[in-house]
Amino acid sequence: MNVRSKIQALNIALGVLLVVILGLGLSSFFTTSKLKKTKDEALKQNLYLFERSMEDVRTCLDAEEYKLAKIRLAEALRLLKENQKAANRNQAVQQSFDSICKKYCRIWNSSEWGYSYRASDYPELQKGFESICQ
Amino acid sequence: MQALKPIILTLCLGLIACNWVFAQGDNCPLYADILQRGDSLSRVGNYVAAIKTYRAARVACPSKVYETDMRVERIVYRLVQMREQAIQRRDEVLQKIALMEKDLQRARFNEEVAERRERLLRQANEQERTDPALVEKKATALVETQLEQKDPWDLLRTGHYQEALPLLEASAFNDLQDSLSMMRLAHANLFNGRIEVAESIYRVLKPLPYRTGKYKSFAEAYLADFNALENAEGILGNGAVIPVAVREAYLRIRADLENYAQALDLAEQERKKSKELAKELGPEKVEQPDPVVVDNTVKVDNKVEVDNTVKVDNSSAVLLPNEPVQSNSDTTQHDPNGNAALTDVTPAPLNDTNDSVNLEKNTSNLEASTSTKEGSPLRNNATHSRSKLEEDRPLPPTPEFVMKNLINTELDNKTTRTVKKAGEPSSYIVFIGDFDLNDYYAQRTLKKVRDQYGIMEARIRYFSEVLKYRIVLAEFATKEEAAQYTLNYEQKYRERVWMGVLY
Repeated sequence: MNVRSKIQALNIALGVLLVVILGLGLSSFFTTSKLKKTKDEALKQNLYLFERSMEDVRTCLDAEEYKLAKIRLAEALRLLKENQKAANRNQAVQQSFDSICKKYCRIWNSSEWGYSYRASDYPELQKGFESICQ
Repeated sequence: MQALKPIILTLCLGLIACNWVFAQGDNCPLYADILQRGDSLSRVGNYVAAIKTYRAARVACPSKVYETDMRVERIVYRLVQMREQAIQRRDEVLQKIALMEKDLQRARFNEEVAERRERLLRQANEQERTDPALVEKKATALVETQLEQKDPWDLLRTGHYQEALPLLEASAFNDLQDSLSMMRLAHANLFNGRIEVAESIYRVLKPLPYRTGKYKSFAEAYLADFNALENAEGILGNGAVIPVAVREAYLRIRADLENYAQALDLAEQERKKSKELAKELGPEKVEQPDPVVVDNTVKVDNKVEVDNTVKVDNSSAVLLPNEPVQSNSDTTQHDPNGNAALTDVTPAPLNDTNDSVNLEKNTSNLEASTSTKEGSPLRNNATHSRSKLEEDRPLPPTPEFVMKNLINTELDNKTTRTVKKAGEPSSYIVFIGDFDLNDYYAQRTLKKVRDQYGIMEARIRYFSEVLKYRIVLAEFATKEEAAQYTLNYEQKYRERVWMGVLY
């Protein structure tokens, strides 16, 4: 094997290596972007679930079913806690979470509805709403 | 190993079943309690709280939504029933109140009449003592009071339309100059369910000028009457003055009269504008209009019969007026812009003073004009160019319904005369004008032509632009003539007209 053929073989090997590296880079890029998209969608879904849970809590408060309200509020708080970190990275979603919290905090404290007054016998509810209002 | 197989299988199945039961129980622990509470609230009649509780139950166990929803629906149905019952009760109470108010009003009215009669009698007695010649006057006064007692308008306003009808009929037919009675006879007929008779009176009177200057036309006077009647009804209660049975017809007639009054206003404005424009244009010559033979025969006898016959020669068009017809007995017809007349049976030129004199004369004969037409002085003395006017002047906004009515009436009349035998038209009709073919009236007319007269070829051709508020209708003996006429118009106005041939 002379030097020329050795150089040719090396060239081919280098070309193959380059193609492989390029392919790996592209695939990892697409995978990352897809993953990010999925994560965003999951976050939005959780946001929707959180809002629905809060609405359920309100329905229960309206019907004076405080035990059930307590359970649903705990679920909502768990959802909020789980998504807090992810939401911190996405400003829009974070704002949505905040606005939902603000809305239900206002409703809870509103004298028109009187939920906080009526549910004074349920410290868990009080505590839960305090954390939401923070 | 073989012996262990059934034991493992049974264990697996048992585990799955336990899990399922556990899951079912665990999912809705509070549901049953909440539902029970909702039921008890519903039974007590506390429906709002019950619905709230059911909603909470829905939250507690979403898999049993159908149960809670069914209960909520039941409550809603019950509430609807309650509402209907409440409305019914309210209506009954209102009806009773209205009847009581009506009786009260009648009683007050009778009291007033009695008081007036007494006062008159007292006065007459006193005068009799001083002057015996006034005995006769006393009798007249008594008759008058009796008549006053039965004022048909008061009777109409208080809902006694059965009593008002014979009185109005008597006064309208005994005294032909009493157009007010004739006018109110329409109301009485309408309220007594004789809708067709009422409509015919409304139709005849509405374009005529009112006897005094208070209203421009009878259409306006009618509207004022309707307002008064509605006010009276507002006091007496729903259906007390205008019977519910004829409410629909009443509303229809009212809408028609409103539109007509509005159209008359617009026509008046249009006429003023055209006069101003004629003055501005000055000494230009009027073009000779196409020769058309028009024969309008009008009979106004005791029962106000109006017969309107129009004959048009085969080669010319009849231009229908742009404004609503001023009188059913008109002998002339305007072009849409009121600038030129095709024919005028009355030979003598008229001026404004003549018009006013004629107006006064006409008021003595049911306010019907049979020999004059507003706008005549303009036509006879006009020195401006008709074509120039047509081109320059902005076209006036004529209400659609006027156009539609005119088109449909004319189409009906002409088709009836043209088609003597179903399926065999003896002549052809061409109409050109503002005619929205998508609209209900046009479709109805076409359908009628097709169905009633058996003309299968009835169709309308139309073009992109509209020569607004001009309607031309003409009859032809042959299809070729009709087509030629249409073609001529097409060429004359290019794309400015819609036109159609009705074979």
